Amino acid sequence: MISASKNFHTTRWTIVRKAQGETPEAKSALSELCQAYYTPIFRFLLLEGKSRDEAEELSQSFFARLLGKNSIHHADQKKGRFRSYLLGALKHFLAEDRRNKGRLKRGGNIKHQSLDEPATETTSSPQLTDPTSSIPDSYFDREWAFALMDRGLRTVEATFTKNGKPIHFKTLKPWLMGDSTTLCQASAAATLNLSPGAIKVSIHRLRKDFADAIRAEIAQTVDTPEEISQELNYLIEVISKLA
Amino acid sequence: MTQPASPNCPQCGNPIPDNAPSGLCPACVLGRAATTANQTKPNPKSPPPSLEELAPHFPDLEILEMIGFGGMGVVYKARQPKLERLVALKILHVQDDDPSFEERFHREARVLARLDHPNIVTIFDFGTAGPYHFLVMELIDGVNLRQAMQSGRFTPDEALTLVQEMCAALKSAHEDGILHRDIKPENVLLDSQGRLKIADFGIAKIIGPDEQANFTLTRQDSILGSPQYMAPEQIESPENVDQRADIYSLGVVFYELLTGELPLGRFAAPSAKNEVDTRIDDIVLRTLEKEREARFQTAADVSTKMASLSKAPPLPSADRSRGAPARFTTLSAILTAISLPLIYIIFFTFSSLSESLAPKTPNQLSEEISRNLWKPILGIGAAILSVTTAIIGFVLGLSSLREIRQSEGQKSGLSRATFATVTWPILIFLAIVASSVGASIPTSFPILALLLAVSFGLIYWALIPPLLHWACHQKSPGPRFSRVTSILASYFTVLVTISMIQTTVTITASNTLSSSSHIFPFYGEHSRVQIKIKDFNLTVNGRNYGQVEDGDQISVKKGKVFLNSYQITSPDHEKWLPDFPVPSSKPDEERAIPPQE
Repeated sequence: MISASKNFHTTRWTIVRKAQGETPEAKSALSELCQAYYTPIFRFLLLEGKSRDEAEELSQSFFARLLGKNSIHHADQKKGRFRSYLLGALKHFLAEDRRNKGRLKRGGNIKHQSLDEPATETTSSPQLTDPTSSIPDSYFDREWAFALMDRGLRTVEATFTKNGKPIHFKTLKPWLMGDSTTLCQASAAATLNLSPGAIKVSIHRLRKDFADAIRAEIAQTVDTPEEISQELNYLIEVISKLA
Repeated sequence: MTQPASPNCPQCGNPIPDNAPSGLCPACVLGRAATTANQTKPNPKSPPPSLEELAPHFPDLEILEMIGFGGMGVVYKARQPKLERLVALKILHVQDDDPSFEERFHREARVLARLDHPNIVTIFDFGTAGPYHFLVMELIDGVNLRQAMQSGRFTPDEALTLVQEMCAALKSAHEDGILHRDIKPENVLLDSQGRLKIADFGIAKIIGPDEQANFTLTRQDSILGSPQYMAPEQIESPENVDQRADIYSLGVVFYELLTGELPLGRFAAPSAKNEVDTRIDDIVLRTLEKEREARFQTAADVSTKMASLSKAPPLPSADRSRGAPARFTTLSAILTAISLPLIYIIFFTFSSLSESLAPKTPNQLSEEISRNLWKPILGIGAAILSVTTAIIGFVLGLSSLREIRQSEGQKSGLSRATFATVTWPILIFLAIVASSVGASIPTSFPILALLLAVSFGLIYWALIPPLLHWACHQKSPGPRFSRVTSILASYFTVLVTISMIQTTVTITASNTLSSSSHIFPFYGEHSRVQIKIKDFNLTVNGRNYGQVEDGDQISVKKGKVFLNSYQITSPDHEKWLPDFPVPSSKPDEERAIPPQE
C-alpha cells in the first residue's frame, strides 16, 4: 500500500503538473489517471442528458483530445486538483464541441477557446460553467467519489484475495459502512470461523486498509498531503448533499 | 436519475444510489474511512523519532514502521533478523529533568520482564540506546479494545470473557507485586485470534509519578490516556496506590464494555443500559466503589465472583424467546400431541372388536373375525404409532431441553420441549394413581375429568420452576412460557381425560359382563353401555330402554352404571341367558330376569 505522505512527490498528478505533461513519464501518468476516472466523465455526460452512445463517443474523444495534446497548459500555474482540472477540461471540450456543431449549422462566428483554460476548483469556477448545462458540478464530483470508492474497494479486495482471504472481504465488506445493528457479527464470525474478538480485529483491519487505500488513491490526484483530508471531506459532503 | 427504489443504507437510512460501488452506501463508507485514518497521529508538540533517526541506535533491529503513539511513548514495528521474529519497540517519553529515571527504569523493567502470563504482553528486552530508553516487546498483531469497541459493541457474554481474561492477567501480576496503574481500553489488546493481552504493565511507574500526574491532570486528550479510568485515590495520591486501583480501572473498562459509556457521575447500573444480568451489576458496581475498602480486594475475588455466576448465569426473560429455537422442539411437541388422540382410536377399535367377537357359533365367529380384521390392524397400528410418537416425542423433547440448557437458556422452545417431555410421564403417573383409587371412587364423568385436568395442570405447573431452573437457570416462568403451557396443558388434559373415561361396557349373551377397556379400569362407571342381547327389555338405573337388540348401544347420561341395577327381559331368556349373573347384593326383584310372557 502506498503511504500517502512518504511517496507524495511521486504521485501521478504531481508528475503531470511538474512536467506540464510534456515528458513521456508525465504522459503515461496522465493516461493512467484518465483511465482511472473514465467512469465519472462518462456518467456525467449521461447525467447531462447524452445518450449512452453519445456519452461514450464524447468521453472517448475527450480523452483522446486531452492525451493527444502536447502539453498541459496552466496545469501548474494554480494549485488545483486533478478532479477540478478534468472537469474544467471536459466543460471546455463540451463547449467547443457544441460551438463546432453550431458553426457547422450556422457557419463561423466563433472565437477559439483553449481546452486548457485555467481550471481551479470546479465548485468555484463560474467562468467555466456552461450556461446550457443543466447539471451542477457536484454531480460530477459525486460520480468522482463513487469511482474513488470503487478503486479503494478494489485495492483492498485485491489485497485480501492475495492473502487468500477473499471470503473475509466479501463477508466483512458491509462493516465498512459502520456498526449498524442490522449487521450481525456473530453470523459473520460463524461464516469465517473466527472468534468474536477476532472478527472485531478483522473488521478494524479492513477499515484501516480501506482508509489507507482511499487516501493513497486521493493522493494521486492532489498536490499536497494536507489536501488529502480536505478532498475526502469535500467528497463526503457532496455525496451527503446529493443523497 | 440515481434515486430508484434502491435499498436503504442500514447505517444512515438513506437510499443507496444504484451505481454505488459494491452496493455500499458511499457516504457512510467514505465517512468511515475519513474517521478511521490517522488514528496514530503523533503529538505535534514532541514529534516521534523517525525511522532514520532510530536506526543507528538499534543495529540489531530492522525498524519497519511506527504503529502507535501514546502518553507513555512511541511504538514501532521492528524485526529481529537473528531470531526472524517481529517485535514491538517502544521508545519511552522521558522528562529531561528527571534524574532518578535511569535507575528507576532499569529496576522496574527488570521486574516487568519477569511477568509471564498468556494475557500479558511479554517484555523481551529493555535498555538505553543513545538518547532513547526502550523496551522490546511481543508484537501483538491486532487491535486495542478501544478500536475493537469502535468495530461494534461487545455482547455481555463477550464482555464477561474479556474481563475474566483481564482478571487472570491482573491476578498474576498482582501476585508478583506489580501494578499496572494505567488500565484502559487502549492498553488492552486483542490479537488476530481474539485473545486478550494487556500491554504497558507498570510503565506508568517507570515514567514516574511526576509524569504520571502530569499526563493525568493536564494532558487530557484522548491520545494520552484519561483520568476517567483511574481510581479516585490514584488521582489524589498516585504514589499511594495498591492493586485495588487496578481493580477500579478494570471496573471502568468492564462498565464501558457492557454499556458503551463511561461510569461518570451518578451512572446507571449496566442492566439499565443493556441486557445484563443484575448480578453482573453487583460485580461492576463493587469494582467501581469510590472507597477502595469497599471494592473487591483482589482480581482473584472478581474472577471468583464472576465464575460463580457463569456456573448458573440467569438470563433476562426477554432474552430467552429471542434466540433461535433448539432443534426438534416443535417436532417433539407435535409428536407428543399426535400420540395423545391416538389413544382414542385404540380404544375404539378394540372395544368394537370385542363386541364383534362376542361369543358366537364357530361359523359366525370366523365370519366376524374376517369381517373385523381391520379393527385389530388399525388398533395395533394406532397403538404402535402412539407409543412410537410418544417415545420419540419424549426423547426429542428431552434432547431439546438439554440443548436449551447447554445454550444457558439462549435458545427458545422451552415450553414445547417441556410439553413433549413431561406430558406422558404425568399421564402415566395419573393413570397409575387413578387406577389404584379410581375404582372405589363413585364419581361421575365431569367431576373425574375435572379432577384429572386439575391434577395434570397442577403437576405441570409444579414442574415448571425446577425445569426452568435446570434448563436456563431462570427463577420464574416468563409470560410466554405460561401462556403456551396453559393452552397446551388444558387442551390435552381434557382430551386425554375423555379418552380415559370413555370406556364401553359390553353385555354379552354368554353372561359375561365386561368393560371393553381394561387399560384404565373404571369398572362400573360408564358413559355408554352396549347391549349384546337380542330381544330383551333393558332397564338401567331404573330407566327402561325398551326392546333392545344385540349390538344396540345405549347412551347412559352421566353417572355410574352399576351392572347390578339392570333388568333384562327376554321371551326366550332360558335359551339366551340360562343363568344370567345376578349380583347378590341387590334386591331380588331387580335381579330377577323374568321371561316377558
